[in-house]
Amino acid sequence: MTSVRIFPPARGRSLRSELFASCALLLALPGAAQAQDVNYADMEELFGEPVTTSVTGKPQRASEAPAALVIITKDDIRRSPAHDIPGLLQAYAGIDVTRWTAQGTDVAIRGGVQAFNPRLLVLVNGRQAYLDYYGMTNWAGIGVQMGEIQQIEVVKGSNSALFGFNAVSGVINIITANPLQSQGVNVTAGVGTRGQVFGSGVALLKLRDDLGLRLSAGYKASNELKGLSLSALTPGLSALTYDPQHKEVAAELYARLGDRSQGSISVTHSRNRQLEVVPVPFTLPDRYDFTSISGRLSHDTGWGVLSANLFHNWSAIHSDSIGQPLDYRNEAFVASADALVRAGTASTMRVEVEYRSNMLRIAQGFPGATRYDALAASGMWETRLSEAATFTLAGRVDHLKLEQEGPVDQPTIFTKADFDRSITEWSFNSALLLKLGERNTLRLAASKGVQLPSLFAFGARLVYPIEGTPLSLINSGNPYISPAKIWNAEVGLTHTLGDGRDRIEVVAFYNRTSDLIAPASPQAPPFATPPAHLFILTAPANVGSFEAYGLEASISRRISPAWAWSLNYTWTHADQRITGNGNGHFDWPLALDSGTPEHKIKAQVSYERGPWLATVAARYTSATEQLVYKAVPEGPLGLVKVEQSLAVDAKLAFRINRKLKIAVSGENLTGAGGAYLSPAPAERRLRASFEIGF
Amino acid sequence: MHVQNAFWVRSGIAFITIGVMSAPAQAQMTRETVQVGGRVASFLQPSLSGPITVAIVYEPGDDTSEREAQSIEREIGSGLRAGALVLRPRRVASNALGELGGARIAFVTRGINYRQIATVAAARSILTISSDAACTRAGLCAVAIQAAPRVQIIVSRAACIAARIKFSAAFLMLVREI
Repeated sequence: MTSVRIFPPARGRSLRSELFASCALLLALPGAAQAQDVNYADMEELFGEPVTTSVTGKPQRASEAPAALVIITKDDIRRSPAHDIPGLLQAYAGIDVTRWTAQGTDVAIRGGVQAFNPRLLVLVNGRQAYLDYYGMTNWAGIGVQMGEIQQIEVVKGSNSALFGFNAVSGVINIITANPLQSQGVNVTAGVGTRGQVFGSGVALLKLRDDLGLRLSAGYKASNELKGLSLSALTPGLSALTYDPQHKEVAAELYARLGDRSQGSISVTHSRNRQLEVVPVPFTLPDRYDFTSISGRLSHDTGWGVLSANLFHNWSAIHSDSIGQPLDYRNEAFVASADALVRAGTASTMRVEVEYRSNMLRIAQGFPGATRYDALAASGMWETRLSEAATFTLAGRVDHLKLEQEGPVDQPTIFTKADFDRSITEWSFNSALLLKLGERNTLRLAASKGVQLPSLFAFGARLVYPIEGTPLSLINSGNPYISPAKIWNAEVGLTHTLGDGRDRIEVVAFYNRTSDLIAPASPQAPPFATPPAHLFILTAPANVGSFEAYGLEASISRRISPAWAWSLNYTWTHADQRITGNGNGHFDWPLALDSGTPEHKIKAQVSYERGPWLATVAARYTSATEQLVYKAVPEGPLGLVKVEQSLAVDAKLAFRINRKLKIAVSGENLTGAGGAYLSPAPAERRLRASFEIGF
Repeated sequence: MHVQNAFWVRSGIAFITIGVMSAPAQAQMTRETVQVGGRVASFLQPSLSGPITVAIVYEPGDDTSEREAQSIEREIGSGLRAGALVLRPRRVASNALGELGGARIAFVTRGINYRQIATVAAARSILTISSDAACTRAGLCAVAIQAAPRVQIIVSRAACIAARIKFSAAFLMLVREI
């Protein structure tokens, strides 16, 4: 059974027709017939360090990017004991990975740990993997296998000026390998404790000199955390079991269209089920079906690069809510065109226009859909002021038109006119890079990002009858909710080591969020309860502010081809000011401050000799307090302590021959219950796998 | 007033940074430099791939030039793979530049007459690569490479225009173009 079938056909303007119209537009663009993608593999070999376009849109060496940037390379992935992308991310400074359940995962950057984290924008080759329906990322279903990743680019701090809404605490852009640049086939399969079964396959095929194909598929299943049903995340739900499982398949066709042009078309489908912790923090069994198509074209004009991108995401989410199954359908469509221009020998400019359409429909007999259409224009200017100083300024304006398609779902206090609303927001990024000698770079950066309320926050309508009364509790959207604004500032000093690939970095950061968005909460004062209505309506609201500041210090070093190690420390102070929350009382389900660990120390050592590869990674995380329902769901909200932890992950791999490798790995070998910040104790898990590659 | 402010800001930044900037070492071509040179050539447009002839231009009788030429030739051996290219070396004396025919890249050693090689390279559309940044800054060599401690590439727009050499725009955004 899929949740997609229960929805009526989309009415009103069809996103599909918009898709075809935009494809036509894409093909008509000046650059559409020709293209030039960044050749990440060759450029990394040339410069001895990875190259990114995720900071300003311009290709930049990692060491010269005007932002706090982490690039996880293929080699880093090969050495890591991690078995998934959040596992890779957790080794780096400033990043918190919360595994609430066996598969329900959130990633936070520079504070603000929360379930369904809406503050981090996640992309795959620039295509949004972030789900707009609730403003979150379903990490299990982004449709990328570890074996096909070229690099993962993590930009810390807001980057709304380049990526738009929701790139507020950071951006993660996962870049897959281009079969025109590197070819191979990789198959991995294995089993592990707690019912783990997993397998993946990747084929990077060069069909002709000008045509490449990337194919991938993956499957993963395991048992749910043993301690989840007895934890504070599932009060009264001790019988709840729902072992996670996910499967995904992806294909991308790359074409070189002449010497200066390149294009690609990709299709991704994933399906997964999992117990996950929702923002009003209790556990729900959810199923996700996600399909995406995307296309990119670019053309090197000699004086710059013209490119056009589009994607269309279809998400269907089925949630087995308490006594009331819910089905959501979200469609997002984005088309953009940009020009990156070399202005003389010292400056680069970039201009972009983007159209975005987004729609959420909730089943249960609600005929309406909440949607918005948004137009955005952005620009970036980078100039070299002197041999040692480079200045970057980028800005963007987004104009969004919200509306309710069809009748307004009842009962409610809102009319269709309430949804007829426009929002205009601006964002910026700026940075000054000063080279202090051959190896040192000082970075001063400031930015403003914008977090858009989710479609759920704008227009949801969930009705819960209150037992023993004629009343209903309505968890409603709020068309008047405002976007949150996030201001960032940072000072970073980087010292490169060796050939420039290794470095020491110290960064002081500060971010402040105003108009903080809180989900609707049964604990919150009713949004409105007209006397004539037999319902109590709660809705999300802008409830206050959040700020975080701290220090990140990291060093990574490749001592020799055999040895590599890294060490980092993060200190974060987080503070939220929310009306109705305080002194242990929570009107609103947000505990962004107590949920963020104050101290984190992470270390990793890797040794490779002949056919052997051994890696050990350790993470210390200070204690936190996470928000939960203290009694049964919808009881009083409160904090539960998650103890400090020292978790150790390890991997031992042996290459039997050129094509076959076997590996054993383990996560949380110390069995530290607080290793993943979840009130449900983390488990020790072991895996054994084989890998065939050629 | 506004112009004056801009002047003082620029002067201040230059003052802060100039004292700590170190000049690149007067290094000769190393294996890394040669590798980088080969990879640079893979970003030419139209793109090159497969085996290509690489000229090593030297000044007969000049110790520095001859040593560097020998070093480059030794590093390339009978064929050095660099990105999509396989480099095949050919030594060319500066008094026999007619032998540059068929070469797509020329490694220019120190000690030769840069202007002379620039003229021939421009006429034959040959990519000239040197470890001497002065050659590139003078607009005579198309590319200067410093491979250590970290890769630094300087591209002369004037030399490239003269030799009708074009690089991909993405590549030019990653290097220092003058």
